[in-house]
Amino acid sequence: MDSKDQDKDSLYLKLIPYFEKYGILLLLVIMIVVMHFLQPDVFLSWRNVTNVFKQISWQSMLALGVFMVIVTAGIDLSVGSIMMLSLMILAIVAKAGAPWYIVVITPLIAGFLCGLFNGLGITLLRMPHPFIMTLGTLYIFRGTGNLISGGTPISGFTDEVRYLGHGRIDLTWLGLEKSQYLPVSLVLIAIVYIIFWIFMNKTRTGKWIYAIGGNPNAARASGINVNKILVIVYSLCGFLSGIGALILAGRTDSGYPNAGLQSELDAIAACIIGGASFFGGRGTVLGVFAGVMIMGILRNGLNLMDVSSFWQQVLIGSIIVLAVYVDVLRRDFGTRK
Amino acid sequence: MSSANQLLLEAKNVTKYFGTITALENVNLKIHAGECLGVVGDNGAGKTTLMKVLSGLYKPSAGSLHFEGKEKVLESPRDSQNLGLEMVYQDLALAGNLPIGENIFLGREPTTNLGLLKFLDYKKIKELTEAHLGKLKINVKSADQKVEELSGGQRQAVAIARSTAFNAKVVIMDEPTAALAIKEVGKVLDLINSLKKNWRRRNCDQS
Ligand SMILES: Nc1ncnc2c1ncn2[C@@H]1O[C@H](COP(=O)(O)OP(=O)(O)O)[C@@H](O)[C@H]1O
Ligand SMILES: [Mg+2]
Repeated sequence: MDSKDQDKDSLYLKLIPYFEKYGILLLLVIMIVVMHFLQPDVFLSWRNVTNVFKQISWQSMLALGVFMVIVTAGIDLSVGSIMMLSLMILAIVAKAGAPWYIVVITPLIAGFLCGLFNGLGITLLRMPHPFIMTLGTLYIFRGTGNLISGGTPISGFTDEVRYLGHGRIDLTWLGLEKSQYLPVSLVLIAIVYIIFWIFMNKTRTGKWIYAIGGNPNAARASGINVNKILVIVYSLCGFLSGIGALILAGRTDSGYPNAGLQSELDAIAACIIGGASFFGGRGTVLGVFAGVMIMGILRNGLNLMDVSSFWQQVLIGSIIVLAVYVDVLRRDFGTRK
Repeated sequence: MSSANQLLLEAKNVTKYFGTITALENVNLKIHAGECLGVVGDNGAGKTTLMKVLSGLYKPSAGSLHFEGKEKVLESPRDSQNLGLEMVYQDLALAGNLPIGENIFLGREPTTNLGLLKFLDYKKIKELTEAHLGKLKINVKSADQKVEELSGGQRQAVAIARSTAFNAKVVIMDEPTAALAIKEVGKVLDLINSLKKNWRRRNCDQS
């Protein structure tokens, strides 16, 4: 190989990590541009953009939780049910007349405890795979939510309780119109994602989470308490599902039996589209956010164009397969050098 | 500083069962400062098991471990590390998705603490790693390179570098050349020999 070839090659190799990191953002930008050309008047309007963010608000919390679990090479199938149970507990506590600050905290505690239950089950009962424990709790948590609520919706929360999911930040002081407000849930997404980005990238615990996914034996041999870290990860995942419940309570003003049904699959899909590897140790917080956005924009755009929800299913499924195939190709390339 | 022939590590009547398999039976072992000990045996003889017991990864079914004369019960490899024992595992025990430096300091990362939160000191990890790799004359493109991108010999060198980065009194290596291509074996043996001159104690397993 002559030196010119080598230069070209090494530039190519140097670009790979960037593509790995930001390729998914490129896909997101392309989608936004395409949608903009297909729906020039509507898609990038203030109203529609805020709508997309409102629609992805609670899903983005579940996806972030599932992401951390997937980084450890695990899986959490119970996030939708955790959210539903937390929402039902919130609704019951609200109906019982508890003050808003109690109502607001209950789903967070409930979600955290559900996640802790998963984590302790996986580690203490030495389940062969987290799939089994969380498949079990998928049924257990939703069943419990129906038991305590009688399987009927409970509606009507105060404005304080609904603030995070339904609140608006007025921007008229910036000279914008009254309809051009900022949803509180959008600010919440940003804050939560920034916190977890710091957690995963800058803290020691975050590094250990990646290490466990990369090679659990290496983590153990390095003196890391793998079980303790796993319990923390599943608890945080439950906690985030609890935040999802709080947002959903605000959006729908109701606790209802079908809340979050199958949303664990959406959460997993967003992680996979966003580049997280099922084998663990790989994926970024930014990627998950892009994955959530891609799914949200796809649904929103297809709705705007009156495409049936059946086509949405087909398309989202295709994107999952395509995203993973691109990853396979990248890996092939990476090992062939 | 330990005197030349001080007893550093002693295993007394160590026995280890895996279910019905007896992997170790009444093993006695003494390691003194300044000595290089080899453990030889067939495949399945129990060499790896013995070393994992010494490093605290496995708990012995019976028997005891003594570090510098005091009996110690190891709950995890962290305990043996704190007693000055480092291990190079046969399966290397590196996380391929992490860079070289983060593997060397895995579990013992320098941090800046803010209350309960411990933030990684990436700069210090990089500096210490580069200095240490330089001292051992280990050639890699950069300390930020992911371990999965390294050759077998380079990985072994990283594993050995990790075992010598923390002033260990005893270094245990489990078949340090078994998984390597022939041309890489020489390099790793050179590395081990150069360590012998500078370090106090090592215990190699070569079958
Ligand atoms: N984790 C384990 N579970 C069950 N049996 C094991 C385990 N590790 C080792 N053994 C058994 O213990 C014996 C000794 O193995 P090992 O220490 O790996 O031998 P060596 O390193 O000398 O080749 C073998 O019979 C092996 O099958
Ligand atoms: Mg062995």
